[in-house]
Amino acid sequence: MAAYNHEDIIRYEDGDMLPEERQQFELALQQDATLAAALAQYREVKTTLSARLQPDPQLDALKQTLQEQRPGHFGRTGKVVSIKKYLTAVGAVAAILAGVLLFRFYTRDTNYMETYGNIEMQVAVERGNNADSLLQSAALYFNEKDYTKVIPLLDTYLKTDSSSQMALYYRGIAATHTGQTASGLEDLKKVFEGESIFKYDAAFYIALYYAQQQNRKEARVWLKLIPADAAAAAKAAALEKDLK
Amino acid sequence: MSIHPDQRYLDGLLRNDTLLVQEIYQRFAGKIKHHILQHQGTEDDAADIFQEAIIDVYNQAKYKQLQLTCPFEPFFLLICKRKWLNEIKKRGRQPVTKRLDDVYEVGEDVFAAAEQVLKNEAQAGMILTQFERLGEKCREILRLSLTGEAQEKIAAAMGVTYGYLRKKKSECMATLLSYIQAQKI
Repeated sequence: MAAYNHEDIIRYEDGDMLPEERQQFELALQQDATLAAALAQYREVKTTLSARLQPDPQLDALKQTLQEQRPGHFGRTGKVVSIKKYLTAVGAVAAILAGVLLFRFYTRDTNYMETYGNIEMQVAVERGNNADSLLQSAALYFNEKDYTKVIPLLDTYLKTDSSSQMALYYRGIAATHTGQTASGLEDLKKVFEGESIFKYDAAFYIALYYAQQQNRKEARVWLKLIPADAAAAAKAAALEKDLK
Repeated sequence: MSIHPDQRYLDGLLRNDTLLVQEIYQRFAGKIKHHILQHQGTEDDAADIFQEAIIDVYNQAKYKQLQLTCPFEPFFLLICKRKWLNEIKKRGRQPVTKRLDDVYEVGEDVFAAAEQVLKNEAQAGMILTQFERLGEKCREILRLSLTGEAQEKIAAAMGVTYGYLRKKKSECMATLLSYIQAQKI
């Protein structure tokens, strides 16, 4: 390296050396690790500056998204709210609550899905397994009731493990919520025909679906398939009582 | 090595997929907040570290074509934790002698991928810091020279001769390289 300085390295890399000088430089490069490292450093600096000194609208947009997400997930500075605003807010909440209660009073006998259909997707995953991430993401969307996003994730998962009763069960439920009733019921029936822990949960959900459709007869048929010692037995009994 | 399905996180960051960014926050923000609060930090610290880690991953995906061959979660959490450890050291505090992977046992592939991101980003950060030490004229010459535009055109735009631009560019770059060299000693 002693024979060459930074400007020589720049001249070489930028093609400003005469052929003979260039040849000597390349010979030195082969014999001098420090010189080779200095050249690599220059290339790295050039690449970094070329990339990062230019405007990056994509990065600006991402930073904006991050700023928007931040307050919802990390602590915020408390704000002083006037008592007038507070009372207005309380009044608004009370009005909404009254409306909801009134609605529930008139609909509680028929809105079975609201009473019994609050199902959370729970996954037990082994960290590091490639498929875990799909299940975790599916669970996230499922529990947020964003069912359209659940289905493709579970479709992908089922391609790697077509025997997963858990994936079939949750995909079935998600499908019934997105208008794909036939395929949803088909998934749930497959689960019921199997011997997994979801067997009677699937039967219950099919019954619930029919109850919600006011098809009480079909709902009762499915409820009767749930034995008294099944985990879903208690809610099956409650739903059956509501159907009378 | 095959690409992990979690590559979708990197692809999502590159196209600023807001739902995917939301998913990253929903899945991991709580874990990082907990970790940083347990290790001498505040919620603001946690939010900053989380945001910086996402940008680091974006930069590596964009400029180094980073492709994920390991799961995203342990990879991302390790980056956040390492960044926080560095920050504690920078603030002159004594980091608690606790293993970084106290929440997750991380595999070698995860560790290597996270380390690479941190190393590359530290290197890029150092180069940019040294660049900022240059005089305004040097910064302008280098900034314009590295756009890929024809040098003759840049010289004309700057109102200087082509020969002057080349000479100054070489001098400025040599100065920058000497600053960077000094950082390594």
